[in-house]
Amino acid sequence: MKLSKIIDKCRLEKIVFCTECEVKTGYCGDLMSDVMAHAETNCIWITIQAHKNSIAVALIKDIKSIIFTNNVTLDKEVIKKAKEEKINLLRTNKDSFTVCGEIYCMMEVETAKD
Amino acid sequence: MSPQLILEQAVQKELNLISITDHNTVQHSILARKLSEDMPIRVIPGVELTSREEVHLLAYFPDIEALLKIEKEIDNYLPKRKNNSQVFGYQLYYDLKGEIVGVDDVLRQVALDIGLDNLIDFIHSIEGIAVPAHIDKNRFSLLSQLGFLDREANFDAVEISKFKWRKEKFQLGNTWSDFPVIAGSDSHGVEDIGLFFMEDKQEEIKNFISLKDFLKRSKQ
Repeated sequence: MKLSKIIDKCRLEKIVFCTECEVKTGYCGDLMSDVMAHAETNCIWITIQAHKNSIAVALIKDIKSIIFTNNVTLDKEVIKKAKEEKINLLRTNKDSFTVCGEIYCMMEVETAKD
Repeated sequence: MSPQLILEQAVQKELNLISITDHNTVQHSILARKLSEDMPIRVIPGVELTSREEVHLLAYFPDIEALLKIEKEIDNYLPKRKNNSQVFGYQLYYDLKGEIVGVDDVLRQVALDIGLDNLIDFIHSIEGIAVPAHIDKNRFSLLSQLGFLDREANFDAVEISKFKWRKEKFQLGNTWSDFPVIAGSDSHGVEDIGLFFMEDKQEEIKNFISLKDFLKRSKQ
């Protein structure tokens, strides 16, 4: 599924949108050690963890897009780093449960089509 | 644990320099500092803060004034919720004599709504030292929450658990990823006090200022 479709359907705010990509899977977690251990590469990552280490974790795991939920505040430095590293940063006032549910349903529909 | 009891015990165990770092609260650290003026022990004002990322951060300060400034920040950033004493226990206030004078009913076992880096900047702005706590533990630590240690980060030191300190035979002046390492007894009861301490063989760390200088020198 195209990232722009997720952005559209979930009405996500684009903080940094630099590359369109194909999203096949997702991961939800706020502990970086957990994300590094369990997230699949190329997934879309849903989190409230807005520290700049998030960008580094995304790089390590080849995660191209992060959705920040609960409308968390993003420091300038996080945004700057994401631009440099070409990581898409999206944000919503919905909570992680809701966003995961929405994306999961969309993915199920896509898979059914295939 | 009253500050008076802590200090008596620490003196008995021949500790020279201690700090009381309660979670998101400073009142007992202030009392301990005041009590120490008439006792053969030095006390560094301190507190253990929880950042938005749920990283526990130790902060040490030169004086009570600075501690009062951080208290204001805590009040600003702590969610206004009531403590559940059944879950977290009673948070008792003691006076200088060790008498219970009140119960703190503010929920303190939660995160402040301020990010780690901003919190550290504030601590530095009032001349304090910022040290991520027990980074080797898998809960509420810099490594568990944020995954790894950023060498560019502005910590003054990192704290490890006393178990790791003993196991790896750390000494004052040693570093971890270029950051000076310290460890505390993490005493949660009077019986813990004095069971663990760091030995200052050169006898150069007498107070906050000399601790700050020492850490600055140790940082590579």
